[in-house]
Amino acid sequence: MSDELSSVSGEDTQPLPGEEMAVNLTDQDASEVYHAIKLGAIGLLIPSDVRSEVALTPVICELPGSPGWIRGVTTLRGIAAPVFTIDPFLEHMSQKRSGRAVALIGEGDFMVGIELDSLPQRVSLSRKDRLSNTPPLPASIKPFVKESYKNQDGLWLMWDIDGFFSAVAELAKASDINSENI
Amino acid sequence: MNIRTKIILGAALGSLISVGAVAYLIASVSEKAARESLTELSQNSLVSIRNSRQEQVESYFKTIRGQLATYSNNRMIINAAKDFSREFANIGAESEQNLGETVTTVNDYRSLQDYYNGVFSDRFQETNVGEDPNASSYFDRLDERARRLQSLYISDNINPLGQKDLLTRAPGNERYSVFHERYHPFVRSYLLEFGYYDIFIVNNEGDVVYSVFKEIDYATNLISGAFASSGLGDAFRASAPNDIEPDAVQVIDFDEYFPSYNDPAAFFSSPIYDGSQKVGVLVMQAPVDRLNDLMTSNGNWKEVGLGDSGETYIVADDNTLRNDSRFLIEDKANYLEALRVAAEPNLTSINARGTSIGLQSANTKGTKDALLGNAGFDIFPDYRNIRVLSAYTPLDIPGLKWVLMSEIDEEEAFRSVENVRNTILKNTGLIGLGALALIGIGAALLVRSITRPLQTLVGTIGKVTEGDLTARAELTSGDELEDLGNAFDTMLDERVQTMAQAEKDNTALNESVVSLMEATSQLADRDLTVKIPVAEDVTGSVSDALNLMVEETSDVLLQISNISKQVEDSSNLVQSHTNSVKTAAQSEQTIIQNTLRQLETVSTSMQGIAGLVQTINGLAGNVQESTEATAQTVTRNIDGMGQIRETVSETEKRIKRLAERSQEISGIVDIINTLSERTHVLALNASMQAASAGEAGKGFAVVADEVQRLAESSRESTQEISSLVDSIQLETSEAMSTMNVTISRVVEGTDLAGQAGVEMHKAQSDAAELGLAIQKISEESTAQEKANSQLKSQANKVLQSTEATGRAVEEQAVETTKLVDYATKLRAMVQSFKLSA
Repeated sequence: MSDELSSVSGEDTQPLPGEEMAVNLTDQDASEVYHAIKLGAIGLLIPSDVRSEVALTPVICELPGSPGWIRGVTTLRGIAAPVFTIDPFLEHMSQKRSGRAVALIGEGDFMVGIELDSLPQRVSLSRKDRLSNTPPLPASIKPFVKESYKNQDGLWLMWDIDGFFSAVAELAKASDINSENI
Repeated sequence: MNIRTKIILGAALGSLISVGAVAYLIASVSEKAARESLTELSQNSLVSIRNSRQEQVESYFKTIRGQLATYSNNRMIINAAKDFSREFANIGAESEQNLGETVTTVNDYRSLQDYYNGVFSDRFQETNVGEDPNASSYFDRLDERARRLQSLYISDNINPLGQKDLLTRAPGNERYSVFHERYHPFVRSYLLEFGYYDIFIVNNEGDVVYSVFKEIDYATNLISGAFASSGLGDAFRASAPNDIEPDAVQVIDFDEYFPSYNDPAAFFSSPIYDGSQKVGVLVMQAPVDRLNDLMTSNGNWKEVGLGDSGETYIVADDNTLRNDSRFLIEDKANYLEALRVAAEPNLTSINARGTSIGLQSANTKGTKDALLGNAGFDIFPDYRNIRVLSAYTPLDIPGLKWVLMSEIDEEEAFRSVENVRNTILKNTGLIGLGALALIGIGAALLVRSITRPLQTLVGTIGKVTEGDLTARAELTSGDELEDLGNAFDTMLDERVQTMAQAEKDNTALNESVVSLMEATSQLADRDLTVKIPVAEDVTGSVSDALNLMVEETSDVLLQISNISKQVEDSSNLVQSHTNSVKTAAQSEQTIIQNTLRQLETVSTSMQGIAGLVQTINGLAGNVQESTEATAQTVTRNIDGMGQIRETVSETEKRIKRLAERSQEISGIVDIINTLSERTHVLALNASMQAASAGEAGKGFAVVADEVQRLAESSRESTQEISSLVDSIQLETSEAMSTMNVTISRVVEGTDLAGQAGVEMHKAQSDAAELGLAIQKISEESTAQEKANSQLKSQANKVLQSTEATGRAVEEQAVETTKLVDYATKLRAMVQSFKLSA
């Protein structure tokens, strides 16, 4: 993790796992509440129109011959979803996963699981928290960041989930690519 | 001084004077003869060496002259002079025509200038320490052709300094180089063959058009150039006249030559004629080394007969040397010191350059005479101001006015003379000492034959004077001294006989008087045993009367003395007995008093012991009672410890059960925690689903949020419970550890109490036995105290009786002492007379 990124990560103010963020409302500046998953120093906001769900200690079936960053496949109410760890895309900006919780984002055949550090949080952000310039980020995720916010709880990114997962899918298709190449 | 000493000293002095005079005479004559002989030998040797060197030097110069005259007529040299002169003149024009350039380039000049200021200057300063060559001024005086040729053959010549002759042809298109390539190998070969320093060809205009070694005189002009006034310039001018004979050879004496770094150089020159036309001058530079080696015998002075201080050297008409001094080569420090003492003006230069050629002044008696054209031999101070034997001669070298000196230090030449004189003196001294010893022995024997009889006669007179009238000389020397001794002995015999008779009569009378006086003196000293001798002379009657009076008095006193002795012996015996009784009485009294004091002490101790025993008897009863009470207490204590042990064991069991219950609670709390977490996830999922449902899900989202808060609250509560349970388990664990320690200590306490009970019972039994023993001691002490009182009373009565006896004995002793005193006085008075037994 670069020093520059560390300076904007807000690790010192990182909340406890599962702790709900206080709503940051002021008279002049209305705020909006998001669900977010925190992966190391970076928080990824889940757009309101995207279905998501958390599964505790799900059964994950490994896929032989798949890259290391693909953990395997799990099922949620009869629907299979691939599970992967987002670490390689963050270039080790996040910490090691416990594998105890998986965030399942999307629905139906487009549902994808991501290993979590902690349970998703609720984050209250206002316009004044929005950053005018995107901070230094890993190249593999930076193209998919639409907006970035910074408050006392750390850095929060609004991302293009479809675009990111499409890129991940393309990457998974390339059989000769493994996690080290990324 | 006695006769013996006088005779011996006289003989020694006479012999010393005569031997010394003879030795001095012999030494002087020998030294003179040896000196004359050695002078002749040295002269012969020096003249021989001088003549040999003279021949070699003159031959050397003659050879050079012959070579030069021949070589200047050599066809190759004639052609070379013409070709080099022509091409030298064309150098500037040729370059301009062929190349359209200037004769030299800026770089050429700079390279050449660097050579002057660098390589040349450095080499110059190596042998001219501290001198600035100012080389740039010489560079500035070079004309264009000189700079061009020096650049080609010196500065651009890749061969190092001193080997510039290795370049046969310089790069470039100059026609000069074509001819250089043609002639240079042959001229260079000639130079190397005959050992010249350099060979020059100079054209009629004075230009040095060729040089084998190409020093900075190369290509310069000897009429207007920088070296016009040098030895080379002089050599050229000497052979320059057009009417000079073709075979004429000119010589220029050795002098400092700047292009050769101020090393001494001599030049020989000869004109070059092509038929009747003079085309130039051939010049040879002679090296100083050849001449120097010749004169210094290549350093082998001793081998050629010049010993440790001999040398040969050449002096020119400027009164300076033309070869190095031997002393500079062999012992520079002492040489320079000698020059300093001799006030040599060029001392600094000689020291700096390390050579004496052209620098060392030599203006001696020999050089002056030789420069006047005379050869000879003489002894005089040399250039170091040290006396030398010198053989000198002028040299016959056309064009040079030199003289040759062959010398050796006088001290070394006559060193053997000194040795001869010292040997003669030493041997003469030894002979003189031997003669002196023989003369001394003879003189001593002669003196002894005279002085011994005289000493005997003197000794005899001394003995007679001291009273030995039997002493006689009895000489047997057989000469006049023996007659003198016999007459002396006869005179002594007559005088001694007369003196003996008179002495005998006087002695007899004196002895009678002395005997009478001795007897009277003894009587005066109360000696009544004296018997006075009765002589036949006049003292006999006096002696008889005195003897009768002494016998009567002696008898009376003898009787008184006997009686006094008896009284004194009796009194002493009585006094001795009295003293014995007195001493015994005093001793007995002291013993009785000590006995009384000890009895008093024993009685007091016994009373104290009796009281103490009573007290101990009471205490023993108390101890017995206390021991019994303590034993009962210990027994109760043991019982109490057993009850504590049971109670602690029961408490430990209860705490263990409490720990088990808290484990069960912890399991239940984990279950609740899991439920809370799942409820939290469920609520979170509901909230996320509600969010994705948009406006329709907002109501559900509120419910989901509330459920989530409840789940969170439940999770926090279970965490608090879990924390409490953990604390209970921790406390329980610590309590159990404490209980285990307590039980261990209770067990130890119980064991200790049991041991204390056993010990207490034993102490109780011992206390009872102790009480009985103390009771018995108390009774015995009382009986002992009564016996002591009776013993004390009896002792006091004995003491009183002993004191009375002592006083009576004391009075008796006083009286006995008086009696002894009287008897002693009486006996002393009688004993003052000496009586017969």
